[in-house]
Amino acid sequence: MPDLQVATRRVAEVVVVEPKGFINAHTVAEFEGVLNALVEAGDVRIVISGAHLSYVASAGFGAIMGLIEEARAGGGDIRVAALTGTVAHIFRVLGFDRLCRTFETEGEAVLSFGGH
Amino acid sequence: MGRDRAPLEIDVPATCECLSLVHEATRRAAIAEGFDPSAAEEIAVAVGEAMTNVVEHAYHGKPGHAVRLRFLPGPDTLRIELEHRGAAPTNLPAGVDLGRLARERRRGGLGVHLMRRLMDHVVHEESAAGVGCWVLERNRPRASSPGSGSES
Repeated sequence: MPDLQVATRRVAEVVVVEPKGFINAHTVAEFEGVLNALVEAGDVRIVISGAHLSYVASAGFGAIMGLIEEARAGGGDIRVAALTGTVAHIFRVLGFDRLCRTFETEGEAVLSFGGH
Repeated sequence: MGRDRAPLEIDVPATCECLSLVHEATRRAAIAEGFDPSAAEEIAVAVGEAMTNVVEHAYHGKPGHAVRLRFLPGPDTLRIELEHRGAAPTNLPAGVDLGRLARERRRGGLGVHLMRRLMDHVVHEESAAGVGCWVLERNRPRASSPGSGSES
């Protein structure tokens, strides 16, 4: 089984990105490539579902950090949902809860985009 | 691994492909030392950040180098060293401004900050012989919380 698999689903005008496995400096290219492709294509309403992540190193958070303003400039955002355990803890200790909107569930995150 | 046993040393190729191996070895060592699974995961992430720093900055991603990973259980802390012969880090940040990094579309610059937030003590030491070493310590359970220790 690969270290990281990244699936995407479209829910109305929102794209849900669902990484499974772990994100570190070795696997981040896969995750970053998916985010880059979405933003470049103008799919800037993005929800990252963290339900199936075992851990995320700084490289993974850096990928979000490097693209979030690009998504916002295009009228969208990168929002995060369903973080658990160590991933949620690291998200908070890095201060990402002040940079990026987070939600308990993927559904709440999708709905948060409303019609915008 | 008990507290009265000899240190454990592992030589690992300094490549990103070995990050998951280092993560898992560290996680298991921390659990064997009495840390709960979530603390062990945090320690493993911190050690992975140090390993990444060595691969990307000390050796600039060039193959053919190694890192010596050393686990040193003490009475109050678990100390983990990552010894290398690459370039020493320069200008280690005292903190990070995420908003500024995001506005600048930066994708890096978080690793040392994360190490410091997850461990009680983080320092990079250099010998006159050109040996560099990341030293990370985490207090044992029931000691002070992570991040409350000194930072260097």
